[in-house]
Amino acid sequence: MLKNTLSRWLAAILLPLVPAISASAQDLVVYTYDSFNTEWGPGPVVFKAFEEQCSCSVQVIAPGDSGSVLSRTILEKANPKADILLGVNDSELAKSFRHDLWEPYRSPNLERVPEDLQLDPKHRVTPFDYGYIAFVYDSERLDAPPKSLEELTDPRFRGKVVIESPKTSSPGLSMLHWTIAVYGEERYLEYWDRLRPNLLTITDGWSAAYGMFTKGEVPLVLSYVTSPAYHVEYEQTERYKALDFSEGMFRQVEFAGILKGARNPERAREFIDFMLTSGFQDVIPLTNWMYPVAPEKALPDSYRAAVRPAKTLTLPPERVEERNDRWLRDWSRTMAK
Amino acid sequence: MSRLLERSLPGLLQAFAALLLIGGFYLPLLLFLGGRDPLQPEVSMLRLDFLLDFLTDPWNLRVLRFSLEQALWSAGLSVLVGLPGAWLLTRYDFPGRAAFQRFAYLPFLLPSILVVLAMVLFFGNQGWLNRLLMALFSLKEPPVQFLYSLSGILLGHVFYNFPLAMRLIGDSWERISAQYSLAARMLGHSPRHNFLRITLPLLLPSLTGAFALIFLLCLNSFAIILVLGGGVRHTTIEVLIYQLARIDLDFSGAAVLSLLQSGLALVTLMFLLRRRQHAVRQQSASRLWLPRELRRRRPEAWLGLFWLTGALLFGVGPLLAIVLDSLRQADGFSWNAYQVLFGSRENHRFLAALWNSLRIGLTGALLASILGVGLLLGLERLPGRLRSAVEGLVLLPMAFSTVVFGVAWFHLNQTWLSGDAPLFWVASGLHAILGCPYWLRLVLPTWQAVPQQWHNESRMLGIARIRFWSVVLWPWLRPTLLLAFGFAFALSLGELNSILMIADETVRTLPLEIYSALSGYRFHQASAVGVVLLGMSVSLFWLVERAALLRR
Repeated sequence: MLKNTLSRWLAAILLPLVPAISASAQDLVVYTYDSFNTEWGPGPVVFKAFEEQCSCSVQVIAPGDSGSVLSRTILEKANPKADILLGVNDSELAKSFRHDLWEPYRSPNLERVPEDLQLDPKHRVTPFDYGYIAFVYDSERLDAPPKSLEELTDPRFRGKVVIESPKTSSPGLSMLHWTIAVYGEERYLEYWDRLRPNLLTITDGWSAAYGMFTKGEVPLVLSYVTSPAYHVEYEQTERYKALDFSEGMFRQVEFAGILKGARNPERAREFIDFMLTSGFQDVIPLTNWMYPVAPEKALPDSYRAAVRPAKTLTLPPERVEERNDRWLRDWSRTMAK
Repeated sequence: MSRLLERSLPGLLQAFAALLLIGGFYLPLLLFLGGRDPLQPEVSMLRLDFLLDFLTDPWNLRVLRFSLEQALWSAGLSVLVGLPGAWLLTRYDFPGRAAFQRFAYLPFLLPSILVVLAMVLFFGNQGWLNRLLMALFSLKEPPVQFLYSLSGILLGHVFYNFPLAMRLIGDSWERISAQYSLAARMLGHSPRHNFLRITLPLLLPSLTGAFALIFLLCLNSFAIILVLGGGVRHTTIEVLIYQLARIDLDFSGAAVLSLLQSGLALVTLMFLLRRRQHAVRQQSASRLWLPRELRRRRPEAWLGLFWLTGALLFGVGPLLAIVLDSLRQADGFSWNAYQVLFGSRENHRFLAALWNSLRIGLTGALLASILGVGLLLGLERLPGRLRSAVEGLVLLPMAFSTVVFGVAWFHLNQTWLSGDAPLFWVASGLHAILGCPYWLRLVLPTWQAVPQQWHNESRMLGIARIRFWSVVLWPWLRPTLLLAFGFAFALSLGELNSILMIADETVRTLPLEIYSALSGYRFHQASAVGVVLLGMSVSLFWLVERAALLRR
């Protein structure tokens, strides 16, 4: 009762002069992270292709990075606005399971996806692309790049490396997990201690780090194996190269799923099926700069600049969920010495 | 009719101010803080155990201390660098003075990530300054290395904020009567004595006001502290809050830390701002023509020129770096980034964002002005102590972490408004609340300087209130009101965090476009959007000032 009156009051206070956009008028509502749906991202192409296929309309809402989209979805769990959440990565997966967001669905197209990428046996989420974080270097400014995480600590790279903070960015967090996968929980902090002098600075997000790299401030940056393909495709230069480290490369997988309480589960299932077909998968390489999980066409030519890791590393999501707080805490204290 | 309007207008304005501030900020926050953590219903939002745990860890205390220290240093330095600028603007006229004044808005327009990249381009180890010095003196190592340490943080913050200090102080300096200094000089006092005993005390309200605003801004700073500070060595509470809210999704922890941070900030400020003085002031003397004074070899004119050169190099250099960066492509120069922005493509996302930025900015600044006038009228009636408490309440939205407030607002929208609040008005209203502290800080000194006798005289002459406002007060307040409007507008154009939390297609603004371009590897394009943002607001301010002059 009180809530009702109050909400009417608030609605009056907050000046409802512009009609709200009501989600029910749309056939499918998708939440995704902002860079997925920019002009240059896959969003405009793949959602349009789906609209044509289903002769329905798609409303895309892309507020912020994948972390904030996930938190938004969890916050409105009781009254979900979206049918699909697209763009949860493996380190966030356990969190989404804990909040019981998903309506399971096993797409018949899932058999096109390599088995080691099907990380959820209950099919709450379906993978759509994956990639590896990697150090990218500027071949015009560095002659002998490091060949391993270990060699990255060599004094000749002092002040020449920029990474993202694990506390605020997704590649940064993956890098922390990478070192734990390689050195184990007993020795990863020692590694960071050795690496520290080589880090010029640690940025809040990927953009600041990669910006510093392309503007020439450092010759080595933490990014993705697929980053050099962008420069080949759009700038016709092979100057920037990704490094395949001998310890193995750390993988990131991105997933989408149908939300519990979706208004249009039928369409949502149709979308998940579509996600694993050519109209979605073959758009990913040149727009999201990740590897598609079920490509039908060959990868674009520029992908010759993206290395295929010889060895893949991962951490089990449950362990990440359980230990992550502790790792971040210990990491900050080691680095702030 | 006009009588009725005249009598009820002040009351209406005050009611509007109270409603906007309470409904737009305090209610969402209290509902959020008073409830349970939406992600962990078994936990209440205000966890005392969390706070105690946090405060008993010496490492956290160090972080806390550093957060406050860097903000104090940054605010102090910004005021110190801005003060000579205020003096210069008050004392001298010179070619490009108006443009230089307008430059005060510029840093606020750019999202911090672009400012960080601009600082790196200009002051970085491979930046313009170092490359120039290395070429001039044939050095092997970059000679200027103040980024990536505490000095990098201070450099970034002073770059951001000294123009604000310059304008705030300058605006109030212009109203110090020349008669005082004349009288002092006739009494045989030295200029130094004159400055220390007369000018400085009269300037004190604007000095402390500028200090307070900049202190709060720097406390919430994030990208600059991380990147220019050299990583986690200099970590602040804001980084912890961000981590809790975004990575760990621990909202109650983030809320507790935000309360702690903003509480500490306000206590610090109240301590600093305890002494507030009111001064009677009048219009000052006319300004001297700087080129002529230089030819006359006045030492203080040369000092002024020296400061001006430094400020241009330091303040405009990084902005220029962005402009040049927007014109680059791979290894050559090109208009490509702009062609892509304005080219006709399938969806005019850029133009839509431009339009959104404009309308949200203008509405937000207008609402901030109405809110400000309402508060001004309301504050006038309050007794001294209560008054500073209310002023503190107006400042709190600035001190409070926008990341947490964004979540609180979203939560309110979900649980109480069933997610249907019209986002355009929400964005404008939030920007008005965030811009209001600037508005008030700018207008208050000028408002308080309205000589009491004007009120008395007009009342004795039986002049109607509305006429008194339009004939007497408006001409007196106009420049300040425009300035305040401009700051609120600039702040809205550059604001990102709250937009990020509420954004959907209806409220995509230019800062979001900058982020989009960056995340898609289009770094030069991001700079181009930044340049458009700068250009748009410079021309808008120019237009507004022109229009205001014509009216007279």
